[in-house]
Amino acid sequence: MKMASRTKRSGPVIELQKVHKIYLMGEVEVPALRGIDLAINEGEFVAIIGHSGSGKSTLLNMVGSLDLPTSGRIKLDGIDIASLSESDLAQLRGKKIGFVFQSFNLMPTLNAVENVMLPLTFQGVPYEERKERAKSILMRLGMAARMHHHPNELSGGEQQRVAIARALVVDPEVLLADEPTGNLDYKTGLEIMKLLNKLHEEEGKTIIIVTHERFIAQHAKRIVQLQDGTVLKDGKTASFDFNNVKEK
Amino acid sequence: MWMDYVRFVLETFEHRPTRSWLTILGIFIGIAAVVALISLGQGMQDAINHAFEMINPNTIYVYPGAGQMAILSGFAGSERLTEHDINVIERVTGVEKAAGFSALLGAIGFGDETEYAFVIGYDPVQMTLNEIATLTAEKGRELKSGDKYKAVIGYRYGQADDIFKKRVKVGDTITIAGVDFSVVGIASRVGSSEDDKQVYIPMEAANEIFNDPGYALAYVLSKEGFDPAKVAEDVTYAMRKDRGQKKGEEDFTTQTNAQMMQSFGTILDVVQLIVIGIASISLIVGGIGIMNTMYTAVLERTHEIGVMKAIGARNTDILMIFLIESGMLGLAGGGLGVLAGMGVGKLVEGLAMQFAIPFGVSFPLWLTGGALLFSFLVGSLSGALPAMRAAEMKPADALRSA
Repeated sequence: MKMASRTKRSGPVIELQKVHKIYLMGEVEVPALRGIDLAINEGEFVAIIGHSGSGKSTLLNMVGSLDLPTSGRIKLDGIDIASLSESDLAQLRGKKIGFVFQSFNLMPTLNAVENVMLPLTFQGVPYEERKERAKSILMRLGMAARMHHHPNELSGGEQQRVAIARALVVDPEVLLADEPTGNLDYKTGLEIMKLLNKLHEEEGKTIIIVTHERFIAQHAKRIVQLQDGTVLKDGKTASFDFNNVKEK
Repeated sequence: MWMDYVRFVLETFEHRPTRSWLTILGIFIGIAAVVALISLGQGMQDAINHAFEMINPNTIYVYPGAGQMAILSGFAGSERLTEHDINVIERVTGVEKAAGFSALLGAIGFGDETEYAFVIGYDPVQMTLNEIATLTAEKGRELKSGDKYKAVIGYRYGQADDIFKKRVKVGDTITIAGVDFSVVGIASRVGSSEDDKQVYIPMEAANEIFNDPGYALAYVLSKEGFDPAKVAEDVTYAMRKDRGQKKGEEDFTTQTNAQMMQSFGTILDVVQLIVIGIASISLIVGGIGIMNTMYTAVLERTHEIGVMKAIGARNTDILMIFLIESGMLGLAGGGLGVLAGMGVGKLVEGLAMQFAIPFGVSFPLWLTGGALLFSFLVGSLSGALPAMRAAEMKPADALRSA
């Protein structure tokens, strides 16, 4: 089922303006992001790379509204997320953002279909429709045979596929993936990246992934390299200078 | 929306049964204890009230000895009222009639068997069996004027293999304290095994065979239209004057039926209170148990809550899910507890029946309804409050835990 292409919007899907994030560890202040300016447009496939401590996960949390900046502005689809109540923010998140986590984070008490249906429950979609949409996405991702199994009965690759299905079921503006291949072996990781590529090329999805692995990052079309909480480099993958990026 | 949450919650129960059962356990035990104890207490109260209602409200009892346990001193001790006392009482305005009776433990012999039982001596001219003991002669006849060595025996004597191997029939001879008595009547059933074992003989004979003259108790009937309490006061006054005693120094007690009911009622209330106190403690412990388990459970699921928020759950969604989950757990525990408590109550009732004690447990709606409501509320709150706290964390922080 091909997704209808969206009408071109004016302005980026995600915009960060002078974003700072400082964590308080007891008495000590730890700056994680020091003034990030970033704009991501519709249909881009971006990889955010950097060593651990560079702030890449924090950045993704900001983008996904899972956390709020200490200062600066974050706009999602033109809306300043700091202006929203917790309730509205949650709804916005539920409608526009799809998350994929390193450790899958599926509900262990639900089977694959039920897991994928869950975000739609919070959006108030009726039962039958939820079930249909969940099933069709799972089939599209090759999970037809396994969709009634529980997470503990699925392999890592299969669980991540279910997680991706769950992220996609709301038809989000952006897909955010935090180290999506981190818990998978090389071959399975590659399969997942191929899947993401397909989603980007065939369906025009906006995808942002965070990774510390160069060869994973190279699947994306644009690379943003973070170091010490700031953007070090930002450019097309084809011409990216990977000199300061360590191989895995 | 609701059904979805309920479905989600049911999945949790299905996949984590042990955790759920442990949570319920505390509330279950507490509620079962409360329901069982209170229903038994109610049953006891009802039974005693019922028994009292059967007695003539104009009845006044006078017995020797003073103080709370005075009623026993006549039966178990050696205090006695005399014929003179009866005359004094009868002269009081408002007294319809007064008669004394004695009650002594005697050896009842039949064939070659002997049993001990209370022997009640009374004057059949003055009083009827119904007045002293609320029974009638079911078989044969009651005692009448002129009877001396005749007896009316309790219901149980007429049954085979109860007090004696063989049934005692009207016309048989039994011995009381070694003296032969002819059975002229068998009493109707009262319901208590002790009362159905009593033997009734004329006062004259009792005085003779027991060599212990005097009355253990005086039964006084107040006239219709007179307030028994006022009559009782007047009786007290008359006897006090007769004995030359000052107020407060009486060595006898006067009590109306109503007053007796009240004393019993007070004792029962105290017992009930203690019982409820104990039950409440177990209820509180149960409540704390459920709070503890829910709190820990929610803490463990902070990560899960973070994920739910990441996929679009608002704080109210989280609250609803946990409220329903812990509410259902509370209700389940409470429901099972109520059933268990009712079961225990019925069991005790059955046991009482075995011993011929008429006793009915009652399960008033306020008890069962209240218990269910309590368990639902305690359950819901214990789960909802920690859940709200977890929901208010930033999703990123929640995802970081566990």
